[in-house]
Amino acid sequence: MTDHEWKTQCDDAKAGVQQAYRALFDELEPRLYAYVRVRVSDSEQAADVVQETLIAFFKALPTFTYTTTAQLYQYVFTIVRRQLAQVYERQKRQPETLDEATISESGSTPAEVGAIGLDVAAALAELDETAREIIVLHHWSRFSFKEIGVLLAMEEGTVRTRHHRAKEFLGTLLT
Amino acid sequence: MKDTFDEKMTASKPAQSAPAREAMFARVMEQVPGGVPVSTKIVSPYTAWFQKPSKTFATGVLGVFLIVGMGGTVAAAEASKPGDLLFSVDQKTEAMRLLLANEERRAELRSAFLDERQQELAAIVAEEIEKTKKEIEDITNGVPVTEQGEERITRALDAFLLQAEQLPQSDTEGRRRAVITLIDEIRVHGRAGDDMRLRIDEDRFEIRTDDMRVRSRDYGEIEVRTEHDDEDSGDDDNDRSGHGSDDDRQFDDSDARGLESDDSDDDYEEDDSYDDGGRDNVNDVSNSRDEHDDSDDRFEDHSGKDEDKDEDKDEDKDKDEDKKDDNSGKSDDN
Repeated sequence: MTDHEWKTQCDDAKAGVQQAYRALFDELEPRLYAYVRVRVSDSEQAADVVQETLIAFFKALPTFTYTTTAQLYQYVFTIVRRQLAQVYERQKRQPETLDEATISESGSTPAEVGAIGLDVAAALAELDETAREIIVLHHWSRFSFKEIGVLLAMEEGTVRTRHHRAKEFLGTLLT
Repeated sequence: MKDTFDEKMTASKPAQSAPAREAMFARVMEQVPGGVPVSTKIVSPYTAWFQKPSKTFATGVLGVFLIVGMGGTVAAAEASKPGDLLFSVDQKTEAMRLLLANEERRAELRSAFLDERQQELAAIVAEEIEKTKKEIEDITNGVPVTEQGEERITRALDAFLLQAEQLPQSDTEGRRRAVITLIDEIRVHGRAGDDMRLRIDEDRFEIRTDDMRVRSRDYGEIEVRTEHDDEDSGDDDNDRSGHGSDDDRQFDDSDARGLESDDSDDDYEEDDSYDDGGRDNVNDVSNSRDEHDDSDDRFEDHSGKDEDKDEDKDEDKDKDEDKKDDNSGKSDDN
């Protein structure tokens, strides 16, 4: 979706156009789910977080002013991080790491079409938090380096460099 | 290595299944104000035509609407009047009926159509009269104010008039008239029959409402009378005035008492038209003093209409005689 399309969909959704809500949902849901899924213990919890994030975003749309797509992502990811923080708060424990949560699952659940492979999960677990986030955001949530820079408050060049290093590291583990 | 990494990452991408996504969208839209889940609706095969209308279906629906709509338009045109948008349709329908009718039927139709035109004309005249009446009524009602507003206006008017007394009459004439025009438009909102009436004479003024009167008396003295004061003065006053308990005339008796205590030449005339149409009287007050210097004539009607209507004058004289009788009786009582 181009910047213009994002803006149009946001404006239409504000006006109550159902198709615009649908378009925004289709664009955001896969990115959010992939991002959230590696941070929570099960698919149901991930779905809950994504759902609450989208509800909060859609409810906030009347007061949201679109400027750039990166700004929109930043806005949505602020919400999703807040939702995740609430989940962690409820669990009264540290965010589960991939080896604790996801690796224990074998295969996809009925609600999922894809599942994180054991080897990939294990490899990701070897990365530091920021590198893992860059990999997930780029390869699963399909964000550009520029957008990831906005989301993580980093320079685009820094994101590229860290992604390159992380990818090289993962490559050695996954081959 | 690159291919292996990308393949593995793509294969491992977590995603929800399609049903799970649809269910989530439905739940999200239920929570959004005005949102209605659209994609989860199960379409019945029997209503599929309406859900996904084809071009043929749309054409059919349009045709039905056109046929039904034309009938409706003709029916609506039947009730239209000259100047209405559909009147031309009405005329064309009539022309068509004339064209299709035989000679005998055609004469009947022409007569019926003439009746219709006459009725339409009468209806339009009635509508226009009603509309004009309403407009006049709106203008007459003037600018409504609240009771608090009335009180403030009275105070401001009082101050104005007191100030005006310090200047020669000729210098303030224009401003007085401007004030009269202004006050004359004001009515107290929501109080039935209430209006503020103002009279300004050469050296005095009087402001009346239904329950209050403020007026200047000799030597700049201001007299304020309220409905309560009037009631305290006794019901026999009303009896003496001959007006009984008529609320509209509750001050008439006090006027009569004022007249008795003051020089008759300086008192306001007792004026029936005042209560019925204070506005007319406002314009007549300055003239009334010149015309009726003789105190014997002070009960004559000054509505200004009697000059043109001799019959009304005779009736007024009869009424005046009755009033004189009442007044003489009052003097006897006193």
